[in-house]
Amino acid sequence: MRLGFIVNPLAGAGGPLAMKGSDHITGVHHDTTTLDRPALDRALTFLRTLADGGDQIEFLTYGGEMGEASLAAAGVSISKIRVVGAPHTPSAAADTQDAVRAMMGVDCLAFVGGDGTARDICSAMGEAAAVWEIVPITGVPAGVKMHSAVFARTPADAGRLVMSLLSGAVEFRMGEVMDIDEAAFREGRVSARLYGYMRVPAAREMQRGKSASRGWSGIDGAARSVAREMKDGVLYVVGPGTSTQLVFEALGLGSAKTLLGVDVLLNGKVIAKDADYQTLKALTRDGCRVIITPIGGQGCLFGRGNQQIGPEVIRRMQELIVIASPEKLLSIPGMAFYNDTGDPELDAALRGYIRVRTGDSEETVFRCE
Amino acid sequence: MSAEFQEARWNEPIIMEIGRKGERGILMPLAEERVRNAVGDASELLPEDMRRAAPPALPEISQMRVLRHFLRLSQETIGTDLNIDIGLGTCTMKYSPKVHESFVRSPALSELHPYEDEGEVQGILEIIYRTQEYMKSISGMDAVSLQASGGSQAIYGNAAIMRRYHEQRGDKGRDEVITTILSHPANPGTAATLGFKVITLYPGPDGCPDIEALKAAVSERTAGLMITNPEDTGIYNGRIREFVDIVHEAGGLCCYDQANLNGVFGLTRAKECGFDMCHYNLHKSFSSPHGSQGPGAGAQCVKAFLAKYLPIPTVEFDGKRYFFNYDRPDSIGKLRKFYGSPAVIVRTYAYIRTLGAEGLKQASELSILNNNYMLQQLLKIDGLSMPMGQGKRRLEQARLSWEKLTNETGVTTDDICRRIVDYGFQDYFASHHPRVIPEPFTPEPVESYSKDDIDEYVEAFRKIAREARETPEVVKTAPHRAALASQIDEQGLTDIYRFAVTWRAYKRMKNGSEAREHGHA
Repeated sequence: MRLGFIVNPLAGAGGPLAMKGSDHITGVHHDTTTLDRPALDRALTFLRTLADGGDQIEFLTYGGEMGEASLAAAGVSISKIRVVGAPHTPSAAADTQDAVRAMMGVDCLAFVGGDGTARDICSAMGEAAAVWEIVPITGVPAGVKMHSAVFARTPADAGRLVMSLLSGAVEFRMGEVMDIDEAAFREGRVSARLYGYMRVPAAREMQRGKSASRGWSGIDGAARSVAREMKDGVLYVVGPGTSTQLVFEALGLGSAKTLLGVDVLLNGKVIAKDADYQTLKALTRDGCRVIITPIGGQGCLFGRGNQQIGPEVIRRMQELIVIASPEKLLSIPGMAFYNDTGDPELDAALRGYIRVRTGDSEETVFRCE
Repeated sequence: MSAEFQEARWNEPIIMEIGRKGERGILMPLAEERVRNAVGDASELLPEDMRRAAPPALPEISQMRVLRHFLRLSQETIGTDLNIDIGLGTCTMKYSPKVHESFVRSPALSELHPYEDEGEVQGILEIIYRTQEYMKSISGMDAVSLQASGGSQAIYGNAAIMRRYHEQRGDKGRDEVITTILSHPANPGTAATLGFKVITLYPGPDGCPDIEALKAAVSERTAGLMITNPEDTGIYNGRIREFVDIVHEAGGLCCYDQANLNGVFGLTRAKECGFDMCHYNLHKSFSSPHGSQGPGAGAQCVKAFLAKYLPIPTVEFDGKRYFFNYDRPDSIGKLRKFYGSPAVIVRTYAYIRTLGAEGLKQASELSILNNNYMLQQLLKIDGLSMPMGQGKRRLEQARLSWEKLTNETGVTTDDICRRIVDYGFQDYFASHHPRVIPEPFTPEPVESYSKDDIDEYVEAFRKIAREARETPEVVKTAPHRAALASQIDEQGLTDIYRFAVTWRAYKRMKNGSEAREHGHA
């Protein structure tokens, strides 16, 4: 099987920095090699999951950090790798599109990136739609938010899905490629647009598109009860979303919440607004509590749009307070949450059953896998 | 086809808007002069502080107009005696034998007064007592109260017993009640009303509540489990005993919501499932017309160790006479004024006496058979499916989904629910809140219906599914041939600022909104 493999090395880099995306990261950080680049780790996790069946796969990839380097790091034999082109430094959207053009004719394609990467790939594929519309594509999740329905839930899931293509027993569906206006998103406005479709495995391990759930029965009551039970002296890390914003409203801090960012509360006061991972690491101690809401239609707790709450912060957490309406819970495929923190061990430690606040004095116990 | 049916449609005003001042149905003759002189003004006989300053605003209408009004309204209704009433799943709309009405309408019952001396009402007390005894053997429980006026009140009674039980033991930390999202909403509702925190479990892939989630949910804070089985899906939870054991081990009590017993009459009992309490809606499985939100009756059944908590009074028998026992200091108190809904209890008693143990069991078996035949036929309709618990048989009801039809045609379950009325059938029950299954439809054919009835019912849905593909606008704009020829704004049913249950409230609301419209608010 000939697998096209493209990495967007900058994907997701904006997440821990609270930038809500990475589209403009080169404008802010001129030397991107000094940044944490989660996409490279994720590419490696993906490739290691492939290792077992690796000898049946021939890789077509792009030069340097756009694929070649990850394959080398994963120990893939040089005889199995064909580098079809080289990117500019630093790589940009045009390189991703050139890579797609150079990979015409592969049996399947895996890319490591986020919504922006998916959008670039989709637009290049549009130039030869008849060729690409029959090629299975798997997105290895490495972006910040990922509204598109073309990504696996975790890099390891992506690896397993590509392996299942080898056996041939896979059904497909057309997954939406969505992207949002990051400038508007940074200002707290969500404006998502449909850019096209990709042929993706129809499997549980694929995340669905983010969906806004209908109705929010009881969710303000859930937020009220969380606010009521807050204790002095305890640090609360509050994740993004309209559900968590209601906690701020219940505390009389309504407008202080960064809708799409992470804020920190102590003794009823906001002590950090729109905090990035470094800030949160500096502020939090063991015993902090984290308040988040899952992504509707997907069920991701940590790893989508809230990478600022990174592994070290999660490890210090004494209690995880999850708020979600019954309607949102029911929109989650397989009725289970998942995590994609970038740290598979931590993801495993977060598995099990957790309590979810669904209303005032109303909870449920929901599975996390 | 729909053209065969046309419901009466009257442009009938509200009764308060009919008639004229002084118009009368009956003209009472004046009392004789001698009487008038002796008595004086009759209203003077009332103590002054009880007298109205102005007479009540009652309708003033002649007899014929009264008759016309109510007959017209009756032509605009639809009910179990008028249509094939399969659609109202979870409501168990079975035939209520008309012979029972002769007992209920007999002056021996209808003329009873709740303040009559016990010695004069031994007959109805005996019927209540014997009905309690039947409930004991049907449930396997040890003590019964028939005081509740409906299912939710009986559930409330059981939840109140749960609270009292823990209180009396000094077990103060037990403030959490566990239920499931497909149990009747009265379970979380009554628990919350009593101050419990509610933990709701969601179904696993087999359609039953996730037992692992239950294990994770129980703790020293668990007061108990309140659960329906089979749930609204009609799937019987075969592990129910394990659920009960897990909660018992954690120190909680278990309440079985058996409002709808129709799938398990004589097949399983609360006792064998390990429950401490259960309740039945006597106006469902035991027949009684569901008359416009009432009257209903609930049976609260409990194990011996909880008997002392049952509401006061209880109806008891000392070997010679039946009596109300008020001397029960541990009781949760009264659930309602007086005792139960005697008419519904009499119908229940007659129903049990008519069918006997074997007959009741057969009622369940037939309702399961009818449901499974109906499902076989319904699921042949392209666009209708039965999600959850793939391959699992349903008992007396099922929650189906029109999701595929909706995706393919844009026609929703709410559209179909309005359209079915054009075929001469009652609109159906979609789902309790929230809609766990998308575009839901919950039919329940009970034991009363014949194969022909079921075929006729299914055929109407087959036609509507075809309409959804060929002429979707017809379905989306339904109803066309019902008493209400147009769609009503359903917000008016749920928005407290837009509905009124009394004429006075209606006028106030109307005047208020007029005032607001004119900027006088």
